[in-house]
Amino acid sequence: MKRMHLMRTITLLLCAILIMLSFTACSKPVESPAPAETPQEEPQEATEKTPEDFTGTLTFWHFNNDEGPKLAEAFMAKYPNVVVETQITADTDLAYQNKITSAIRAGSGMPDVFAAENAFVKRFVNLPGGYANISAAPYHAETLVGRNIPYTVDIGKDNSGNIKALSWQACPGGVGYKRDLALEYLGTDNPDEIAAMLSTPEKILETARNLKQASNGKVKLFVGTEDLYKIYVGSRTQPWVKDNKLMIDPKMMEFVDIAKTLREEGLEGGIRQWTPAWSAAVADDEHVAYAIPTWAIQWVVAVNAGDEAEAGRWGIATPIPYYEGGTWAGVSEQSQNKELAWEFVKFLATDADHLRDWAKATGDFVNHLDIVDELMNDSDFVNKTVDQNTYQVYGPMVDKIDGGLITQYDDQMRVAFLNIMQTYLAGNINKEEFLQEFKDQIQADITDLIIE
Amino acid sequence: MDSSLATDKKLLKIKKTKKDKPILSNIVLYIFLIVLAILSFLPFYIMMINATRTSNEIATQLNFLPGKALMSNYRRMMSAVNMWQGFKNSLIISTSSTILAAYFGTLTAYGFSKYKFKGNKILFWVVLGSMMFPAQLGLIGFFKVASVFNLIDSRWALIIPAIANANIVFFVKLYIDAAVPNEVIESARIDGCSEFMIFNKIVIPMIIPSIATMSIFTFITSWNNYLIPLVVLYDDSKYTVPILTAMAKGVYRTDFGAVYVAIALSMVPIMIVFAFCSKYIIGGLTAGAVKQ
Amino acid sequence: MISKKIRKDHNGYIFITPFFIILSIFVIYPILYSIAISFTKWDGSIIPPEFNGINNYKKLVNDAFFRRSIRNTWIMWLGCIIPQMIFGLGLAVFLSERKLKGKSFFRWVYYLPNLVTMASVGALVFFLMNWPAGSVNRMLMTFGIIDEPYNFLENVFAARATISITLWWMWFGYSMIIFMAGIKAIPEEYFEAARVDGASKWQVFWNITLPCLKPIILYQVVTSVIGGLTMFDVPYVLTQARGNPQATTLTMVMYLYNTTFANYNFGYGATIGVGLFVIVMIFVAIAFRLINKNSAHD
Repeated sequence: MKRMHLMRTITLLLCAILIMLSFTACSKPVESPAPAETPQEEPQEATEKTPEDFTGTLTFWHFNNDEGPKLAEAFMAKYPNVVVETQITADTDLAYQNKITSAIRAGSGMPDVFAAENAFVKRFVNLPGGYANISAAPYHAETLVGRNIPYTVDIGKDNSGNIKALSWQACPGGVGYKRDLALEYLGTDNPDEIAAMLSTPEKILETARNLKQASNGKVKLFVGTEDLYKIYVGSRTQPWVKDNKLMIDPKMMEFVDIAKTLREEGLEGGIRQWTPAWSAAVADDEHVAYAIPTWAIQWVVAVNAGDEAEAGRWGIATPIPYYEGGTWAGVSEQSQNKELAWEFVKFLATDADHLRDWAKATGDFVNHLDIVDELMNDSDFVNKTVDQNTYQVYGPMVDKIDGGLITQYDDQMRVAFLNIMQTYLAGNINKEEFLQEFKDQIQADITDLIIE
Repeated sequence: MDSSLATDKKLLKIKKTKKDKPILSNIVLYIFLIVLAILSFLPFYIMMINATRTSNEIATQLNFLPGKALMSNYRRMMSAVNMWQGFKNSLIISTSSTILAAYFGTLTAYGFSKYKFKGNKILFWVVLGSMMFPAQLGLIGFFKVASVFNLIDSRWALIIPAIANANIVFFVKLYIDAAVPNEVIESARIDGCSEFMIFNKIVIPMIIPSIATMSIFTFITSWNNYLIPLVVLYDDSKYTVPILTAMAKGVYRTDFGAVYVAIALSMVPIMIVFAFCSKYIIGGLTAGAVKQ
Repeated sequence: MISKKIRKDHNGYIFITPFFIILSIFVIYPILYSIAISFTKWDGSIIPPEFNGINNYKKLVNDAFFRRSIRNTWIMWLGCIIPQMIFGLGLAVFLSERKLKGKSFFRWVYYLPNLVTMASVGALVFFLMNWPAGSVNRMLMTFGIIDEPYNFLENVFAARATISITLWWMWFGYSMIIFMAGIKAIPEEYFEAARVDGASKWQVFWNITLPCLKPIILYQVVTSVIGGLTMFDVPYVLTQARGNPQATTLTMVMYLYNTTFANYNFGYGATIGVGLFVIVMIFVAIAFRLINKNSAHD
């Protein structure tokens, strides 16, 4: 009897606390997305809405505090009656991805619009419950992306070919080099001549050796082998995974060989990307070249060059077309205000006036062929960091980039390949062990993949 | 050095009666303690110094002398993130978590230590077992629970679970077992104290050192907690210091100067808490209490 | 009398109830949930987990990476915990008993490393040990000890040692404080009685301090088995998340984390978690048995 009594007391207590709990939770103001104030039944094509007609509040998730708020501000400037609340979560230790997948699973708490970086966009466009299908009615994204650069549209498609996310930038890549060092030790700082010196693996090695000799071993061509990886990955002819099979492109083995030679002969700095030393080497006199895609002029060179950021110390050569990075955004399936959310995404990726302003304000390489043409021919549009018109530099590459090279596994491949290659370069394993180790790691990472 | 010499003399007097070799052993001990102190302090010092250096200096050299970049680092950090708001958030969360964890943890520890109810042992193992599950994995279910209780994007999601701090229960239970004799409780009962009065008025004062010790650790753990707040909080006006520290670095921009200012600042409150609480650990309260 | 005693014992339930309510909701439910998904194949999306029987467990038993991670975790943990306990206990005894000047300063300074987040410490140690331009390499080259920078973090022994030493450095002050709190709980009479009997310092330590610290030692061993076998942040930051070189510094939780959050294999990630849970549980039980058995002799 006593036990029964006790059990009842405990149960009662439990209930009381649960109720209290849910009460405290509910009594706090919950910032739910504002109800769709714009009538949704209104057919979209019938009325041409002006930006002023849009009202309401959007939540927007982004992983980069340097970009997210600016995008929101640009939208709010054109759409004065809309408020975009930007919420930033850095992707340190995969936190941003974790947060999004958690919210998708929970079925609530997702923002109206969220951004995805190149490293994980393919995964997100294929994630059920994540991005809404904007190929379908009422969005019909296909009709709007005609002037977008095709490879960026391809990346925003899921495996069934539906568009899920759009991008406002394209990220072709070049080799950034320090002009003063190039002139002193290689005899030229002309981008075309530098490009010619780096156009084949043999020439890269030859140039690196010349540089070493001319500088008495003080100066190295590349800051590290990982910068070269970006270039090689972008110049493959087949993706990492095809028909659920691991494909190791011959280019990758070519890369391993050249990296090994560069390391053994002391022709590269050995610095891993995104480490403090890597950022600092931008301003030194010992490392000549970095892999510099469009955005890296600002976010790798300028931010780390200190007072010399606008001195035109750098130049960009384009020996091999490749691409790296980029950010996409799409409408969340959970959004209660999809019309406005879509308006935001559409604005970011296809509004030519906005994209022109964005390019001029940020130096970003925007994803609109008309603007690319326009800025390529604009002789005043010169980036001070590299003293070149970046649209002239990168523009010719945009149609050479193959969006089909990108798979949702690329980030896992990159991490495994580069980490294990470090061990190989350090001389602790041989090439066969490196390959085997890489395959083992990939099999553990992606269990369903067929590896031969 | 004067002070240490004085100590040596004192020790010399005490120990001479026992025919020992005190001076040598004390010098060796001091050297050892000082070397260890330097080792403990050095990395900490470097982080503080780095806060006054430019990002480039931080990345290229080990700095031992302060630079001039503190104010510009601070300004860049503040323009990137609202650190003072973060301080407020972290203080609210850590302080309330610590108080809840300490009180309910002690309550539970006392329940386990002094009441031999049925299932005591099994339930205690449940408490221990709950510590053994990797937190990174528990996060998946935790998020689910938090969203059911509508706690997503709420500080309560970080405060309420603090009540279930198994670590405190474990430590304080062992401490009560050793430091609170049953006779004290029995005699209080005979004096007519209620069970809760015994706990609040008699037991808690006897075990303050253990509560203080655990409170420090709880506060620091809560203050430094990164993963759970990051996943649970959405609104950046609710972000805590570690989240803002990570944000201050930037994604592509790697602003180490701003990061080290944030790290240096974030250590100040926990240093104060530690300096304050450490007095209670050594206060010798226990020795007196047990003698009663 | 007896019935009154029983009623008092039942009051214990009231004392532990609030704790258990919260524990059940926020800790035990997530654990049970994870155990449930450990029997499924699931990518963490809104597509419901697909029941997979014991296939995940079959795989776990034969998983070379999991075995490696167990081994690595143990090696690095032992490299940390043995010096941590020796330093923690030694310093606690010295700083509690000896009449040393600056006791409180030492106590404060030894605890400092524990105030910094693991991630910041990891980043700093990476900066020191980095190849080729890390500070340690530069220092060794300046003093002429080595001619070429040495790639510490690509050498199995050096990488593991770096992690062990970093963790030791972070935690010996913590152990010291816990031991000190324990020593403070030992009644002063014991020490006085021993002194009257003419016991040496060593005898006092061996016959009084150590036996009285049994519960604290138990606490330390159990919590560090738990903390050590679930180590994550420091090796994660130092070895680029993958346990370089060749997964020799990959810990169990790193493997779990990568499997779940980097490779979106939530089902198998949960299985690794349950495997880890069982391993930790076994060693905690062993620790309890060993230490409680010993104390029975005293």
